[in-house]
Amino acid sequence: MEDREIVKLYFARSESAISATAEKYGALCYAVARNILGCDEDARECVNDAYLALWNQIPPQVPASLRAFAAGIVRKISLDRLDYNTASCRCANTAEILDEISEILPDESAEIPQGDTLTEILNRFLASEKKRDRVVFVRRYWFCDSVREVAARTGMSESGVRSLLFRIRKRLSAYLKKEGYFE
Amino acid sequence: MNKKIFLQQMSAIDEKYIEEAAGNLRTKRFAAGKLAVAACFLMVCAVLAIPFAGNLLSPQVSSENALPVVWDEGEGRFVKKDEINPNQDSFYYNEYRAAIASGDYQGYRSARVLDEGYVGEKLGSAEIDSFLFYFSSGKTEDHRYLAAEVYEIRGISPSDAVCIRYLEIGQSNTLTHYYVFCNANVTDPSWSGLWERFAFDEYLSLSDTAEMLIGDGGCVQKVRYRFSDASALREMLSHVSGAAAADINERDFSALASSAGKMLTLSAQCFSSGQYGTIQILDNGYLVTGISGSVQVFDIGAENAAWIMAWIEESGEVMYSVKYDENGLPEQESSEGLESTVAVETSVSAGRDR
Repeated sequence: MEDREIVKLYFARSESAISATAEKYGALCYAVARNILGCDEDARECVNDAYLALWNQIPPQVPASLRAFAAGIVRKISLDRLDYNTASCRCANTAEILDEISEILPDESAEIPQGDTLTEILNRFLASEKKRDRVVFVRRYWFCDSVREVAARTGMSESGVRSLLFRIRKRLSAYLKKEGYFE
Repeated sequence: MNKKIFLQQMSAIDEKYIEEAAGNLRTKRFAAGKLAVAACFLMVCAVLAIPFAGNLLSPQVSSENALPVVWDEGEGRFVKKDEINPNQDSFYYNEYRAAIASGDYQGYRSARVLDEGYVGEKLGSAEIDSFLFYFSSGKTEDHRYLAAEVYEIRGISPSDAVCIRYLEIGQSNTLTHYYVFCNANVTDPSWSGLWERFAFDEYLSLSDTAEMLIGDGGCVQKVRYRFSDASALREMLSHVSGAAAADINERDFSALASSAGKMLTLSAQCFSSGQYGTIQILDNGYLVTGISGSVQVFDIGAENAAWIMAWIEESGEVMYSVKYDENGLPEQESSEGLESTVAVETSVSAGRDR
């Protein structure tokens, strides 16, 4: 079923909207949650929370891309959930990603401005990147794919992906400073 | 903690980058290519292999990793039904199904919500068998029999479809909506007859996109079109006539599809039968659809098929085109950009959008 038809179901308040979303994007949503949380049980719960969030948000919202919208909600819920996870359930992949992000930030105490500023800067930064680099960056830090998964998806070697991610992080760090994001 | 805040704030990056990354899967493209090659031969068969097309085509199939959700009348929203413990595998499928279990309309299967404006006279009462069906095991569980009122759908014979309003809360229903239940055994001897039977003029809605598969030797080209006037296409379909082909069980649909050089797939929803699905037109003159609730094949003639396909090709805007080689690998790809923007058409008639 096409996205617009699914969105129509949400507007019609038909419960089929949720099952149609689950059918089409359930696997993607689960993968995003699983990547972040590293725990099947939590991932399932987050995905179901996301379906309820979709139900409550559409309408009034009309997502331009249901896939990105649904995955974005799952991502947010999963990140929120991260704090509550036990250490045993903590995903090594996410810990690795957080470590990598620390390379972008000047230091742990740096003030992160609230609001849309970072999003706007990231959008400009991504626009300036080559498509391949952009995809690798988004797969790693938005979808939270493991390096192995990114390599498999892009046809690169794992070391190639690590190296490329390192260079992108350097560029992003410089870009954020240039844009005056950090005080 | 800043690292996590940073990661969280990334959530709102432009959706086009997420779409780009989500779509740029080497393995996915390969799979899509293989699928496209197979589609010409298998798509029709796959659809027709299901006795009750609505089950395949309607959006009621929940997916892997999805716990059922239940309507909470008090809350006015869906809540998780976590007392059902699915099997421990990561992948399972289940679906809430419902069928009229008593009275004149026994056996009619549930479909989707109908706008209140299309609800006609009350016909009586019935019991609805609401149950959870596990695809993985083929078993049904959790039967509940719910009282409901049965109503006519305006302009539709109750022998083809009715709608009901539940009087009791079950696993996946509300007390306020009207649900279409259709008779999956209904067939019509002609396409024009089916058109009238389900009042497609009133109840059929076509998507404004269409997909054309073009066989070219061992290669297959897939072209997706978007057109501005879906109502014109509906008008064309209303003027087409054709007799129903023989019983679907007696036909070799694999041969039918593989002998076609082109196959046009239109996404459609029919509010009087409550079905979502496709209308497939083959250039050898066959039209295949399960949009009425039961899959039928009509021989509309090669000229009519060519007429509709030509209209799509001439008036449609190409969204993307991919050509796959004999191995199912994409040879070339052209695209105007990312997938079309989702927009809700609020201007369509009241029955189509609530």
